[in-house]
Amino acid sequence: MSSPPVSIPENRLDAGTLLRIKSMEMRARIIVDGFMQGLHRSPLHGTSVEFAEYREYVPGDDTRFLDWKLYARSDRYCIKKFHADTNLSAQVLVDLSGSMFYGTTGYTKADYAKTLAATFSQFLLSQGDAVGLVTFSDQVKEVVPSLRKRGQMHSIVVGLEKSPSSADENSTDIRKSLREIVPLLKRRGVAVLFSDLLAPAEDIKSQLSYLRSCGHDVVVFNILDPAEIDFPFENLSRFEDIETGNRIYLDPRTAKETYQKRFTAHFEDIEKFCKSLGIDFYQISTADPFDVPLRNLLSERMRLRIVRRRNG
Amino acid sequence: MSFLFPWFLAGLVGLVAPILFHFRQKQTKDVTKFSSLMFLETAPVKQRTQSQIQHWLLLITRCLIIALIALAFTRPFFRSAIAALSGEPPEKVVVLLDRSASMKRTGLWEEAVARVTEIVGSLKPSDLVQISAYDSSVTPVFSFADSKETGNGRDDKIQELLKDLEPTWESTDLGRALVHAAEAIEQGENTEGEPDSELSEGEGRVVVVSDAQEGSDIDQLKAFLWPEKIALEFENLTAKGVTNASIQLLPEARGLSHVKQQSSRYFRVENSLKSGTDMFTVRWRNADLTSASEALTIKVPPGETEVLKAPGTTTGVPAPILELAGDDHDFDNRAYTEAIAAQQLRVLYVGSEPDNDPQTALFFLRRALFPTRTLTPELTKKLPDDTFEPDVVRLFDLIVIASDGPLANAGVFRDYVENGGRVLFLMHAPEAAAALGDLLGIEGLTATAGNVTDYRLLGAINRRHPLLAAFADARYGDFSNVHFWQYRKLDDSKIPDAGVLSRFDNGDPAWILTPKGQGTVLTFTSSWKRADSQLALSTKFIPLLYAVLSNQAAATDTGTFVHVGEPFPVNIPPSEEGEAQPPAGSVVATVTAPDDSITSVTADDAGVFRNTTMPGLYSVSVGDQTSVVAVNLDPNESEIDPLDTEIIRKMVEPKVVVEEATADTTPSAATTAEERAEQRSRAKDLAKEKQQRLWRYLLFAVLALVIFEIWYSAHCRNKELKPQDSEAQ
Repeated sequence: MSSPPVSIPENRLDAGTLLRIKSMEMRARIIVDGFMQGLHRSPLHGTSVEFAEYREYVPGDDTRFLDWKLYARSDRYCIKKFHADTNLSAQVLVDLSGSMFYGTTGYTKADYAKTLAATFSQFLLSQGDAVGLVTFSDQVKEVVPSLRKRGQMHSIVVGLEKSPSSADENSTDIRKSLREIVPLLKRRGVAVLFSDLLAPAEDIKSQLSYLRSCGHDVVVFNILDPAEIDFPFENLSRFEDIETGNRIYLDPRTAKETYQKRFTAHFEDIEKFCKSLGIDFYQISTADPFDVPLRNLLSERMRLRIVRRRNG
Repeated sequence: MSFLFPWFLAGLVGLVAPILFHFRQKQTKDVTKFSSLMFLETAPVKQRTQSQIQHWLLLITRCLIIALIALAFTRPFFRSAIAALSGEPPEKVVVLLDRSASMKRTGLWEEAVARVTEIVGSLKPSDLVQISAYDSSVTPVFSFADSKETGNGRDDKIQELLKDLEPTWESTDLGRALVHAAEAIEQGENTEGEPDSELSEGEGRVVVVSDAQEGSDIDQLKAFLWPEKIALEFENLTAKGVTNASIQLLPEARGLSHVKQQSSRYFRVENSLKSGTDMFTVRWRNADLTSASEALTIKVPPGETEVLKAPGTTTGVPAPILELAGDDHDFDNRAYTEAIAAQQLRVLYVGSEPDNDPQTALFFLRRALFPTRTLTPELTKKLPDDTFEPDVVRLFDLIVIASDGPLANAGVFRDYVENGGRVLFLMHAPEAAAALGDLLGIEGLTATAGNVTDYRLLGAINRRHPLLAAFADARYGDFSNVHFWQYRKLDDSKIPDAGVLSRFDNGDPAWILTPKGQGTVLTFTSSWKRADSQLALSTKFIPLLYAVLSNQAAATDTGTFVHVGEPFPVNIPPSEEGEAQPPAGSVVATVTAPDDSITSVTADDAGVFRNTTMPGLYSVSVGDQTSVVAVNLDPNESEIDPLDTEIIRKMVEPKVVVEEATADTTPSAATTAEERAEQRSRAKDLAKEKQQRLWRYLLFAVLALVIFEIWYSAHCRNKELKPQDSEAQ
């Protein structure tokens, strides 16, 4: 399901310890400081920096990019193409629906997702990449445009902290939310989604494919609580949906088997779909340390770059 | 086991509740919040069946709690099974029959006797019964020992004895009767009324057959620790009519407060609380019950008391009976009073002052001696030089000697004093000291003129002395307005046994009382003549003079009434000197009661007549003198409103409970003998239950079970909540 493990330093801090640090920015910096910088290949071609290729001029092309020297040598109109001078443009999408406010580890999935989002932002900004933020529940809550300016990290942290911090009246309509998010992503780049994906699989799949079709490189971090994965409940009780408030009375010992079957099927379905679309899918337990997903993501990216170079 | 309220056993239906509760599906109230229910569906929860009842112990405990509560409400008790098995002695019952004056009301006595017969008839032959009639005292009629001796003929014997009884005119001392009954049960009195150890075993019951009127005296019960094993029951009788007004004549002041010959008498009429009328008539009647005055119509609202002025008699001569009419019960409708005969008081003034001189003491004395209803003073003036025959002098009740020099007939007056006469000696001059010395038999008694710069006031006044008791009240004891212009300084230490009643503000004696032989000499070192003092013009003069005249605290003297059952003194004159005392047992007076029965008062009676058995006028004959003493009904007997048995309950509680079995002689409230027997039986059960109080033990058991239930259910719950334990089970 997830990418192969990478080597992890022994002396790292666990998620619970880090979440006790009040400043989100500080948390992110501590986590990122443990990384080595990653390399990213911009999917855009821009001017200057690095020559990419020539292509024959066609009417309508910007005449500024005509290579007049080449025309002098070869009498052919060619357009000079360069790799864009920008680095990666990333948009961090954080799901803050009601279900994200569930947690049995002493903190909620939303807390974990926010810290992870801040960590990613810090990491990318430290590399000179542009980073933006969108938080959403049933609708878009906070939007921070993807920029590379000084103080962007602060804007992102403020955006995260302004977001809802409890499960009141938050429901997930991921279909509607992602529809609203896509127009906000003006530049193609990496869209990093932090969500528990607890919504009908078809809705999720349709919206992820829509995001992908818009040219975005999509990375999905599926954040789950250990209790959701293991379903450790024993006592007869009423289970209340944290999003809807609906209650059902059940004996967890008898319901556990069905739950785990459905749970596994749901996420396997989504992962399979993601792979088919070239979307990176990582399932994370909130009990995992924060650097694990980052390391996994980076190692996967490096692997892909090597593969592409070989193929290129 | 018996139950007082068996219908509470219906509460056992409540046992269904815990059983159903244990059958009920266990619907936990625990709520587990979860992120999403999309992967969950309601899993069927296994239903319990009867065979799956868990916590049998808890179920049994809960059932027991409900059952015991229901049982406690039924007030269970053991009636007689235990007593019969353990061979306890038979029950002892003391029936107290009220025969006070209030029982003279129409039909009450007959009903009371019938009730006693009924109560005795309801007892087992083996039970011991004692009948006591009570009013202000307790009279044994039938004792426990009699009960044991007579055997099967007990009821007939009691019936025969009851026939001879009738209500008296005396007041009700319920407290004394109850204490007597309780002691009789505890000690087991025999025929002679003495404790008998054979009869002192076992529990007992006191049944009071009475009209339970409010006027009953229960003071003795307050100081008595009621035995725990004795039950108390009341058979309250209610007379047909509830309207009763009583009349009492208020005591007539016999001193100076009534100076008029034709005095006005006041009377008090008290109307009962439940009275149906407020209009009554009052009239005087003669001793032969002929009318002596017009009827006076008065209005006294129910529950209130009015003090009113008695009407005047048509003849002007006081009548002895004041009669009330207009209520249902006439036993307390007459108030008796004896006619007060004015006492003749002969006063001899020995002095040389002229008559009608306003400067003299005689002038004021003559005017101060006016006749009152109780005293008829008669003043005789004689000059000091006149001849005084001892026999004539002895006739005077008081001799006032106004002396300003030696007294010629001092020997006569000294004899007079020594034989019990009273002399008021006014020192008009220092030379009078010699005369006083002659009178008192003291040689060389001298006096000087008192040192008066402006005037003297009386300083120390011995208001505790009976002669000055009228001035004991601070309102009347202010002598500061009485100025003394001159006085004679007399050394009282030279007069043996002299008691100084008052001193001037410089400490010199003003009034000296000296006993001499059987009489007394009261010396005023400053008299009331105008040259001496303002005493004659002050308000203190008349009371002081009358106190001296009547030799008692005149102003405060009020008459008192004798009530039925109380003794009254018979005034037997003191025997003459040399005359032999009447021998013991000899008749010194005869008293004729209102029913014309004649009782002799012997020398052994110490001058007291005790046999006042009925209200009315008692004629007392001592020698050739006849006087009348009025004996009235105790006013408490007229308070016929029902006694608040709550008071008795408080005194007897918590050991015994007082229960009433009210019966009414009115047709509407009449109950059959069977019903009354049932009531009695129920009262008996109640008393037994109160004695045993099993419900308390049941409630203690309930409390213990509740505590156990709380602990055990918490224990079970904790066990369930532990998954490991649940798995293990």
